[in-house]
Amino acid sequence: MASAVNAIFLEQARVLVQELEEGNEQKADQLLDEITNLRESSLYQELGKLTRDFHNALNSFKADARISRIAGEDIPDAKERLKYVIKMTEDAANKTLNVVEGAFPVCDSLSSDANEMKDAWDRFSRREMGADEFRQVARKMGTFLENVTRGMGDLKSGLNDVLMAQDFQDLTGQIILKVISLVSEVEENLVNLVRISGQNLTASDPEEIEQEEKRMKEQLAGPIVPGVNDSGAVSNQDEVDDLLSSLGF
Amino acid sequence: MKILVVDDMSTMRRIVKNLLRDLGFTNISEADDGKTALPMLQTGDFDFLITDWNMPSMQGIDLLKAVRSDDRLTGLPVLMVTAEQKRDQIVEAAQAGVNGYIVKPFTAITLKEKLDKIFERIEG
Repeated sequence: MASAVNAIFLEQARVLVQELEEGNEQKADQLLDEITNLRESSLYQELGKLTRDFHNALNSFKADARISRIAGEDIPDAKERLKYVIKMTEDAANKTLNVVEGAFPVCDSLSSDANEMKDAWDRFSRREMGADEFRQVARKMGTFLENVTRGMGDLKSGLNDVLMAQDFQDLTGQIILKVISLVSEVEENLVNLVRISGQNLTASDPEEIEQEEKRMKEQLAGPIVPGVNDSGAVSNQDEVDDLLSSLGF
Repeated sequence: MKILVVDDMSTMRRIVKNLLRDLGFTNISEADDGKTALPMLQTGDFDFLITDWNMPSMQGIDLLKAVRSDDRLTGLPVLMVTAEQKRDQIVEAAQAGVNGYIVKPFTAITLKEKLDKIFERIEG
């Protein structure tokens, strides 16, 4: 199309030169107007084509129902899922802690009773115990054995509760896997978006990007995840101790 | 020995509390943030502070700095128990005057070791 337009331009320019040489100013003016009109109309054609392309691109972007579903439903949904993971892990931790806190006094009381019984048994073995005391100890022994049976029953049911509290791992694992697959999909779409509008994105203000990155860095790093940006971090308590002792601790 | 345990997660406070109890410390109070901890420390006659770093309205590092700059609290032993393990942060805590630094996740043995070491140094 452009070459067809150029041919018309060339033809008209030749006529224009000819008219000017022959001194036909009026005719030349008219030709100049025609050339200008032609030039503008071809510019408008190009602009029109660009606008159409842009419109189509925008429409196809909007028409990608998947992207709007990700933004409108899946991401909020993922947030809910992750909140539920926090809740489940917290519940499991609390269930376990309840059992442990309930078990400590049972262990303490059984072990102190057992120590008392052992002392009595040792004295009995060394024949240091009279008949009256022996009868007392024998009664205590009966109570102690009952307490052991009851205490062990309590501990066992507690251990069972701890066991059951671990079921969060299976469920949270499944939920997190779903979120990971959503994140991958978002990543893919973002990569496509960057590809479509790549030039515009890379032209962003580098200073702004730098500031944003600095802001991210100033946030606390939190727990180190193995293999994920762990530069400048220690990986265990020994390294913390080494670092502190190098500082004179 | 009166100890204040500061962490925004209640489960972590419970874990630390139970470990301390197992080590024979029974007089333990809790706070969920530096902001609530500081007034407790100023009025509560505490002998020891165990604090997390990352908390909502007042970070553990700021609590440590506030303790060191308060005449009545400046000598209070402070043990930091935190998931923050960047070298810069550990150095910052050391410079702010922390007495011990434990990274999460940690074991009962680590907690005992660090406590023993701090008491040794205080008594020595």
